[in-house]
Parts: sequence; structure tokens; C-alpha cells
Amino acid sequence: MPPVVGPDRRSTATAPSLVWKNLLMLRLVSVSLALALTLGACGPTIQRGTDDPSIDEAAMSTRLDRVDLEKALGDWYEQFSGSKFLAKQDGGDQTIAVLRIDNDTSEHIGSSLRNLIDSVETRLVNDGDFSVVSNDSIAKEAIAAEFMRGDAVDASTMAELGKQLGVHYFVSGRVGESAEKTSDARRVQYFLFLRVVEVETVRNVFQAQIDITKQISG
Amino acid sequence: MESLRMVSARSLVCVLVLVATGCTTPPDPYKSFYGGQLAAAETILRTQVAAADDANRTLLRLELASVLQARGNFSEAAQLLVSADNKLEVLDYTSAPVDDVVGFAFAVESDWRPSPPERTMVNVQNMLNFLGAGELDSAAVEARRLAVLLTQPDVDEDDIYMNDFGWGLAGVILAASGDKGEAEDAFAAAPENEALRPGADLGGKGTLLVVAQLGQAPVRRQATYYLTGHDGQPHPLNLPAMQARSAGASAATVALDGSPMGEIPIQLNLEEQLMSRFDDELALLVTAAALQAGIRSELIKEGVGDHDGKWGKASRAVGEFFLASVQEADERCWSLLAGRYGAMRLDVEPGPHTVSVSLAGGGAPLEFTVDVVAGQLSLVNVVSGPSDGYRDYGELKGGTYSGDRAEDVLRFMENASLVSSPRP
Repeated sequence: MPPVVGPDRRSTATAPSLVWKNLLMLRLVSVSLALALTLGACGPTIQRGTDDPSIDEAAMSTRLDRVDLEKALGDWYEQFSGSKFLAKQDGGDQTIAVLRIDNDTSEHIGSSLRNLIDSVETRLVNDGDFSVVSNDSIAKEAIAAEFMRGDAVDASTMAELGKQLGVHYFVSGRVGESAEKTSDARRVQYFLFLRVVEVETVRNVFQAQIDITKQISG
Repeated sequence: MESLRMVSARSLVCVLVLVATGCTTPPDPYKSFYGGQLAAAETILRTQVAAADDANRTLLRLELASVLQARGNFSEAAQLLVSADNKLEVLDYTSAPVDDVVGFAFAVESDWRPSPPERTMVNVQNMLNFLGAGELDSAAVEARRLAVLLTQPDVDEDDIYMNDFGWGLAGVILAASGDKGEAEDAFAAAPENEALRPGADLGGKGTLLVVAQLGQAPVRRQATYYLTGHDGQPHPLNLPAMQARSAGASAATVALDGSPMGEIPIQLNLEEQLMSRFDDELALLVTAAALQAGIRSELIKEGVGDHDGKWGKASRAVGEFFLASVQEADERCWSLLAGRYGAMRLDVEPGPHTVSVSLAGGGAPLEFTVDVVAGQLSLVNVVSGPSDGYRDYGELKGGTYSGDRAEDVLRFMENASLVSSPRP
């Protein structure tokens, strides 16, 4: 078939309309490519932390993740193991109960705090400096119930409880925050306090503070 | 370049498919909810949530949470709202140029973003959910989230929609959870809620918090606004305007163990806030709608100029398709919210109590039996919606819009040769 000779539509276009058309086309092609890429990214990816340790590192939200909890535990342990309180312990003959950490923040971090308190308990058990009251102990529940009364805690009742139940100390904590939100960011500064309280006197005999900051921004 | 054009054309076909199968919320769950058939509303919304795309899932979760709360399934409602709140928070700080451009130029639905009054209600509703579920600590978390939201330092006062009901609820919850300082701050933020403040000494009493959620918040509906510009002609433009719905019960009165306790004071008129918000954003909506129309109009012209080429056919088809829906207004909103909110605090002796709530203009009183525990907070939550009855929306009339902004928009539309016929 002989070639068809005739006016080339594109060659008759004026220069400005060519420029405009190309610009428009470029925009649309860019958008379409971006869309195609977006649409093409199908299916979730599942990874194992042991294969790619970096997946544990990324912060996903302003809540507390494993990196934060490991930092909190590490900081607490460093302060606790170097404390005068621990130095005074003769080893193993004192009983300690690990209670809870109150969440006074604007983040739903209850489960993270339960993990942290369990990690503290694990360290105390493994170090052997104290006899640690088990989780399902009646003694632990009784002391926790009394301590939950906050300002209304009666020192003599606590002392009596401690004597009856054979518990000398308990660990509890609280996490507070300074949270601020602007149009393009939300920052949460956590202040975690972990203390050891002598049951008989309801006195703080050791307290550690750990600061953690998280931010989400645009 | 030809291959690029093909990629482009294929992608645009994908867009067409997406839009054609798009996600307008069918009215069924709303008919069921306001018709008092809560189980049916729940079933429909569960199906819709499961099938929803990312752009609409969060909104449908909010709607489902409203149904679950009205049914007394507070725990699941709370988890849904936590999940929705997380998503909305990420969205607050997400800048997605690709999504924005695509959404802007092609009317592909972008992620639903709530208006500020709706955004605030996520935390308010979740305080109620956690309280109803007996999880005071988590309710306190929601109270603090609300406080952070309502005290943003860089937002103009006009853009913060004060929520006195939310502040009062936060005060009650924070006080009950032992956070006296924060509770004081919350009460101080809304002094009208003095009656919700706990007494100096409850003397071994427990607290009943009776909450009334009355009527139906207005919803976004498409309305035609006429822009009057320098030519003196009215040019039509469709916008997502607010449409008022049934006012429902005008008041709720409470009786405790047979003794009248009075009317629950209204602390939040969400209906007024949403209407006011629309007035504030009307100028922005007008501009955005005109800009979208202009871009699509250009698409069609380009397609006509290159009518024999593949590119020309594709762009013309796409342009015409989208011009047909060029002014389709985004009607998405949290439809199952009540219009007005109030709470009454009753400090009572521990033990079982009967709370009777009568809705003005609505049937027999609702009876609740609550076993009050000393020092603890119990919720009685009354949602009038399911007894309000469903009424079909009538046609929503827009209005006229004039002034400098209307002039600017019309000039832009003219420059883009936008089809803009005068009012018949």
C-alpha cells in the first residue's frame, strides 16, 4: 500500500497550542502514571522482624511501641540497679509486689503499660534481689485495691496489710504527658514515673523518671 | 510517547471504573435507624464497612459506632471510634499531592475528612462509649484527647467549635477517675456546666449521669447556588450544602425513683454549629467547585482539538464523563449524630435506682434500672433518633451568592469557557 501523502495534522498546529497541549498532556500523563502506580500497588506485605530488624525501628504513631518500652525499661533498670535502695538489700529475703502503671495521658496505651510492668517484674524475678509476689496473689490484689484509693489510702491499713500478707514493697507507676496539637503536628511528651513504695510506711523508697517524646506531623 | 499515552488511557479507564462503582452511601441504614430498626441498621452498616474502600471506611465506622451505641454495645462502638480517630489523626497531617490532584481533576473520591464539629464529636461520643462500657480510664483518655483538640494554639477561635457538652462530660469523667486538676480545667472551660461538677464530698454516694442526644444533626446535600456576577445573570453551581432534618424530641425530662428531677439542660447545639460551619466555608466551596469545573472543561476542549488521535478520544471521553458529574457535590457526613446534647448529674445512694426519661412529643417514658455503686459513675444514655422516625429528604434549595468572590469565580469560569447557563 503506497504511503498516504497529506497534511500532517500536528505540523499545522500553531506553536502556542502545541506548547499548551504538551503541557496539559504532561500533567495528565503524570497524574495518570501516579494513579497507575497507586492502583498497581496491590496486596499487603507481611514481614518478620528477625528477617528485617528495621521494621521494629519505625515509629508508627504517637503511642508507645517496643522501642519506647525497651528504652523505658533500660532507663528504669539503670537507675534502679544503681540506687541506694537496692544497695541496702541483703538479697532475696524481702518480698515485693508489682502493681500497675496508671495511664494519665491522651493516648490509649494501657496494653503497652501492662507490657512494661510485666517486663519490670521479669527483671526483678530474674535478678533475685527480691522475692516477687505472683500475679494471681491475693496479697497483690489486696494491696492494689487499697492503693487505688489514692488520697484516701490509709497508712495504718496498708501497714496491717503488709504485715498480714508478708509484702514489704510494691512497685507502681504513672505516666503523664504534655500533649499539644497544631494544624500540622501533634507532639506527646511522656513522663513516666516508676516508684517503689514501702508498704509499712507508704513511703516512696525509690523513684525513677523516664521521658519519651513522640510526634506525628505532616 | 505513544506508550505513555496508552498507559495514560489505561489508567483513566481505571479511574472510570472506580468512579462508576463508587461509594455513595445508600440510604437504607438511615431509614432503619430512624425507623427504630437498629438491628437492621447494624447489619447493613457492617456489610458496608466490610465492602468499603479506604476513602469511605472511616465514615462508615463512625456511622456503625452510632448504631452500636444506640443498641448499648458500647465496647465495640468504642473500639470502632478509636480506630476511626487514629485514621483521622493520620489524615489530619497527611499531605497527599497525588490524591489531591487526582481527586481534584477527576472527581475520584478522596478520603473523607470531617468538619471540625464532626471531628470533635469523635472523642465526645467515645467518652460516652467507654463510660457505657465501664472503662473509666479509657474514657479519661478520650476526655484528654478532646481537651488537646479544643485547645489547639494555632487555630483561630472562629475555627474551634467549642463543645460545652464535651467539656462537661470530660470534667465528670476526669473527676471520677481522680484527675482533679484536669477536671477543674474542663469545668472551667464551660462554666455553664456547673451542675455537672461533683460536690465537695459525695459522702459514699454514687453518680448517675443521664445523657440525652436529641434530634438529628443536619446533613450535607447537594444544592444549587446561583452566582450573580458582573453580567447580572445567575450562574448555577452545585454545592454540598447543609440540610436540616427532624428536630426530634425538643426536650427530655428525668424522674428518679418516681420523683421528677427536671429537664436535661442542652449544652451543645450541634445543628447550629454545623450550619454555621457551612456558612464559614461557603466561599471556599464555591471556589473549589468552579476550579474543578474549569479543569474538566479544558480536558474536553483538548480532546476536541485532537479528535482523531487516541489521546484525543480518551481525553474527550473522560472529560465528558466527568463533566456530567462535574458539580456532583460531596455529600458525605456523619449522618447519625444527634442535633442537640445535654447531661444531668444525679448523686444518689448506692443500690438500685430507676431512671425514667420522657421525651417531649414522643411516646412512653424510657425506663432504666441502674445499680449504683458508691464512688462510681454510671451512664444512662438516651438517643432519641430511633424514635424520631425517618423522613425522606426533600429537595434542598440553594441560594444566591454574590460579591467579590462570586465575581472572581465567574471570571475564572468564563475564561475556562465553562458551560454555565443562566437560571431558566
